Amino acid sequence: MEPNYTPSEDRNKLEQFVRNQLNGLTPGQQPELWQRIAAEQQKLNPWMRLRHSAKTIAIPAAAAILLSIGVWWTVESNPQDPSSATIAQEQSTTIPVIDTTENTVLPSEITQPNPKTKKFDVQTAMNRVPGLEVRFKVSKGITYTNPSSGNTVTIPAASLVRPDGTSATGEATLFVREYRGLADYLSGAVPMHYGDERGGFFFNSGGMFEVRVRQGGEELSMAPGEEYTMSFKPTNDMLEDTRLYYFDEVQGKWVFRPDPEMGQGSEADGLPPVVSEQTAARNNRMRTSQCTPFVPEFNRKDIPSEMVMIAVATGQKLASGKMTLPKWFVKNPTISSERALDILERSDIRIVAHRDRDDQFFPQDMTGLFTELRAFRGCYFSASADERNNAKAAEMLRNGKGWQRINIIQESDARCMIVLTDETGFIQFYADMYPAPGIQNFKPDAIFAEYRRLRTERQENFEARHRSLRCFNMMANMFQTEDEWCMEPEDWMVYFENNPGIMQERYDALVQNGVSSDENIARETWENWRRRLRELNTARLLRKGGSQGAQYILSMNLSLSNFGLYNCDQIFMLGNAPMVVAGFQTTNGKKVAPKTISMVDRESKIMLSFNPADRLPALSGRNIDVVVIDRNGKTYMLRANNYAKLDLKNRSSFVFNMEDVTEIAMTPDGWSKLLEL
Amino acid sequence: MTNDPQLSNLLAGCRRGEVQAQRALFDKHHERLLAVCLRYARDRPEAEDMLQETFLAVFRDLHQYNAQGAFEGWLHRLAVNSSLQFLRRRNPLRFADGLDDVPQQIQQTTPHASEGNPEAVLYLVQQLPTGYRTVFNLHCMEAYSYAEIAAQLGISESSVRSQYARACKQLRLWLEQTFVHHP
Repeated sequence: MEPNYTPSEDRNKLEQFVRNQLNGLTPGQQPELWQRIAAEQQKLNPWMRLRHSAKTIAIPAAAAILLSIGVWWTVESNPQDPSSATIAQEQSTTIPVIDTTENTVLPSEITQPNPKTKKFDVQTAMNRVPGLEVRFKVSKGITYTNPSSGNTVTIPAASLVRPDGTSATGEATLFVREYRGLADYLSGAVPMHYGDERGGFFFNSGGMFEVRVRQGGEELSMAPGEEYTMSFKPTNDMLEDTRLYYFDEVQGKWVFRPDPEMGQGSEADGLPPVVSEQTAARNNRMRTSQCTPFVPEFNRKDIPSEMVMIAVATGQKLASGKMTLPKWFVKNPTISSERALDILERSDIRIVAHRDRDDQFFPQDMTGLFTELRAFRGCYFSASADERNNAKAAEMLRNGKGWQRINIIQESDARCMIVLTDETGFIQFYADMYPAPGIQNFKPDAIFAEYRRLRTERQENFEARHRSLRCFNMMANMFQTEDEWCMEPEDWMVYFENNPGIMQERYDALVQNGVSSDENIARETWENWRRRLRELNTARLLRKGGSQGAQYILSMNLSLSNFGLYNCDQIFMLGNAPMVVAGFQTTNGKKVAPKTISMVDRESKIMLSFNPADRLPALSGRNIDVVVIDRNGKTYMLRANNYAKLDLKNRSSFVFNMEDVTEIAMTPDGWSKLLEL
Repeated sequence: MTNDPQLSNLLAGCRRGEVQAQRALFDKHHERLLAVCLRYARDRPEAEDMLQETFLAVFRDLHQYNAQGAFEGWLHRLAVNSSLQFLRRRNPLRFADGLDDVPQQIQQTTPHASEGNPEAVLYLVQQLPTGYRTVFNLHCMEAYSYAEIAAQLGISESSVRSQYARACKQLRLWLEQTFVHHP
């Protein structure tokens, strides 16, 4: 170790000296620090033990739950059988809880809500989302923080009443359960749809929580005028227009509950705002913090600054309506020019016979795509004698069929080869070109030269147009908002077309700043963007590597008067989709009678839920998992890869073949595996 | 899991919430992690607070350790992240503060300055304003690039560069005052 510092302007020497010194630091043992850490850690260790043992207790716990459901179901089906009812009640009340009479509380065992006070409902019975129970003195109240989420519920002292309205005293049990993702919603069989006077909508959830207080088998309520508070961190702070909803267990449906913290209804009708499916999907993508822009992939000849200039000029033309975005490009924004030309160079070419001479014809383009055919105005072709003897070719020329593509290649003087292509293949034959009667100064070389010029011009125009669109798409991220980075290129171009005002303002400003006309400005714009891309990439890597992921999400402090299930959600409307009457059967052909039906989009993480009688949207080609729970609590699934292959077009009804996944779908973890979350 | 069976057992115990295992892990690693926290803190009590948060984070996130890299490296990163988190929470604006409050002359009570030992250098580093000290540690000790530091602290890359340059300049001045024996 260097004992003395040698003065030097060399920063490396300074760094080396400090590094050597600090790496040799021995701060000494600090065993007394452990006491502080242990005191804090003591509160969390029970939860760690629970988390660790969850796997080993999951199967017997699930078996016990299923058993109790079975017994319970029997009770419900045979209400006159008192012995069965007693067994069911005993099953549901053997839940161990930790007795904590102080305000400091510890999480307890996994449990299920006590069903005794409720009418039987398969959704409640099948709920496999773990909850936590703590005991507390009603006279003191309780502040309980869920160690896994940090959400806190506070029940004021002496604020609870029994079902008969008398003040509750003594000890009570607080039950808290949180639903924080698709696996929980499915595992809890939670309905994910909402309706009001405007129609039906779906939830895109930012998390749900369930709070109940029980005493001696009764559910307690907040006394009139009293409120408890819930400090809740939404699972996704990227959701636009989230509102609070409450599950009305009597009516079995979600009810909008305006809250100053979460937002009221819109001013016009007092109802919660509705977003589009695209917005919901975009918000979900933003939640994953993966919405970094695309890094352009250049071809060898691409010059970035030139592409920036073209991109801005094209963007302005498109935004101002001087140019339109072709549908084929919106659907295939990354297609190469050659491939696009190959696909799009298709027309309807008819072989039109000379009115006086049936051995002569003219290839007429009915759509005008092959503009180069103008060069042959006043000319006719005649297949060579050999070809006329070819019966097949002659028949194909005579039968008036349409051809998609034509190419005419000069051989020598007026002799040429004509190639006609359709969807099944092509024919080619030699032909001679003749002038129509009355045409003077017939010069075949000049005619073919003009044909080649026009053909090249047409193809070059196409390539130039395609290149401008490609530049526009490749460079679009540079000028987008961070929200827009979360859109797929196809979705963004639709967004672009739907928001001409915003886009024109954006691209007009760029043009005015010289980005489309000054190469130096364009180059500087590109360099700045590259730098920003690197920074964004670094930030993303750091976020991925860090353990502090979502802790900046703000808590909502909600004051509530009813216990039950609450939902911090945005609601969205499904885009236009054909609907089908759905039937379900097992792979053995046995009919499945659904109690609940859900659909989960693998890409957008959007979940749709339906009542048994509802028709389902036919979302052909999309990776959708279909989940059905029947009245006996069995869970069936049609996996996304199989759904994507189904042809649901023009179908009014469809029977889905479902796989029994009951055993795997016992827990949220099981659902995570099934959905590959 | 890790190839070291002793470490594997220790980590498994910690994951199960066993206090003895957690204590053993603390005993084994706390001194080295305290050295990390001391560099980011302005004094020892603050470093001890950082260390406490580090160990709570270790026990909380231990299930995320996938044994792909050295456990010590994972601990070190967690200590740095926890320290940064601590500083950010205490005062999010401190990363942008300047040198105005920096004493140009270090007190002669600098610990063992004449011997040029690590505690004396640590003391000087701790005298830097929080922002400078953080940037200096991240670049000089952890070898983060300027861009990475900028992203981590939420400040611009140019600000990182200037803070680092000023931190070096100030440290050089103090080191000369403290360690160089003029005839």
